[in-house]
Amino acid sequence: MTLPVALAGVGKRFRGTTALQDVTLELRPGVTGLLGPNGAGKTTLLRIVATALSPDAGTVRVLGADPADPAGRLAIRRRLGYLPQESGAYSGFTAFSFVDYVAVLKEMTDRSARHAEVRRVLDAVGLGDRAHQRIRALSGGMRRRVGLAQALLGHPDLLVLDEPTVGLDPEQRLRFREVLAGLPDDATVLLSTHLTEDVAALCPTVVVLDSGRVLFHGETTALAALADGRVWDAEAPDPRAAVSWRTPEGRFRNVGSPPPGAALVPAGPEHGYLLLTGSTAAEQVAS
Amino acid sequence: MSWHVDARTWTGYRAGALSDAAAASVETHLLACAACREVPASGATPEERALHERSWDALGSAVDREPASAVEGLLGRVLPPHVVRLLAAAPALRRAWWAAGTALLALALLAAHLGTGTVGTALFVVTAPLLPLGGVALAYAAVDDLAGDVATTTPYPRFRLLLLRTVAVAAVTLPVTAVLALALPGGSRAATLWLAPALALCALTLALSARADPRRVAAVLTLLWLAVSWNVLRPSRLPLAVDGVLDRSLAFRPAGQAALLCVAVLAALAAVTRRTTFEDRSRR
Repeated sequence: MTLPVALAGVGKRFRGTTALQDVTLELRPGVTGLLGPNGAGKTTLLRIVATALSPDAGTVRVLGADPADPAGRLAIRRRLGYLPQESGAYSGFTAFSFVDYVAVLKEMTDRSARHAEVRRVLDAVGLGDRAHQRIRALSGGMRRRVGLAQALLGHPDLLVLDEPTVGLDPEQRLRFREVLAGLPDDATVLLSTHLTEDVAALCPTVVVLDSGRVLFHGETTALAALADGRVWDAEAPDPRAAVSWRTPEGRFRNVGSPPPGAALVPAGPEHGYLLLTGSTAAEQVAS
Repeated sequence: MSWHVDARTWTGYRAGALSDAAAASVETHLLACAACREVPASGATPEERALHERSWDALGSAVDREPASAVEGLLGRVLPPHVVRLLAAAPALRRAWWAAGTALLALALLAAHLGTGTVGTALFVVTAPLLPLGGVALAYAAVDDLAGDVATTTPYPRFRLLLLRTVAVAAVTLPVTAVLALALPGGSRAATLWLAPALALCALTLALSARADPRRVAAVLTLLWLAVSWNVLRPSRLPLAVDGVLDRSLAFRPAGQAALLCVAVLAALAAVTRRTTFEDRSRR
């Protein structure tokens, strides 16, 4: 079986800063979450997979094609849906006309069929009743959903979503999960987030990236298992903990090497993630 | 939804035997109830279902058609709707830019009719080529900025989009400039001298945008053009006729005009033969 995404030894530098270093990844159909602190290289990795950026080193295969080859890149783009971090939606457009514009760029030339598809994706993200409102008049969350709608055009085989849940309220986040759940089983979704609850709710597999390197790639349950027996609550931050933070109950949750007799709590993916990435990620989770 | 259309009501509706109020009630319900819409469709042949889907899509498409701007309306008469959608996204076709560009030329034209008309004519032939250049640069920038990576990662070729917008900008700006040029007091020669540099500057912008930001390319070309044509605008101690003033710059002499046309052709050829590099620039 051809893997939807296969990266080998991929590296990328921007003006002396290393964004990605020797990244090797193989993704299978299904939803994969990409977790990492700010500046970990998530967006760079997603842009490379989405053919928006070429790597400095390594090989990339997406949907069985080579994005470095013009014909391969075209074949990938015909089966790709991409939501960048900044979707750059032209604020003078209505939601409908912007998605329609992208639909034309996706080679949908028949107007009736294209409009039907635009309505479908806008309905899917809950914007059917806002379709003819100018984008500048929409809230941040709604603009994000316009971006998501354009990514869903044409039932893509590969969806690359950069921080899709940013700006969404809990109800919209739930709707987003329903949209992903409604995708065909053979579709591949790679989404980045810094919210571990998104990963727990959406992603059977997860990749943890930090400082441009892959720290973990496996099932989300395996990420949680990394922290089994290593999460405990105490009255004060424990010096044996790699990271500690104050819980809403006023106690301190510690992740690291617990002392004997510590009040252990069940571990989740966020605890495994914190063990891997340390204090940088802890600051983001606490915030 | 508190009720659904029952079999008896369906029979009456199909036969046209329902009262107007009852028929309207059924139709209102159908708009909101997918399950009831399936009832008549379930007994239909595949051809009838396909016809129904097409009709429904066409109806939705007509409802979703948004009011077009004047430029969109004009373009829609000669181009397919999807091409109009791509062109209408370019800021160069927007009213504000148009008004500013045309006002600049109108001012130059007015100046041409003041006094002897020499200074105004010189100003016109120097500034006129910059109008399409500015439009093309804005149209190119829109390709890169409008939808950012969303547009970059679609299968639509970037070069084709650039070319489409270049032609659209040229097709609108060049006739407007030509009409204004006809009113120049300097005769037919002065009225045509702006065209070769305009074509050369547009083609060079297209070719060089494969490697650099179109706005920077346009800025550099503008400065180059002003440097080349500066002699025309420089005050003269002796009173000169229009032709004499224009001859002070090589760009407006026959050899210069021929050279500019060659540059236009070569730049356009270079852009076409290296069209794949337009895709590569956005991936760096």
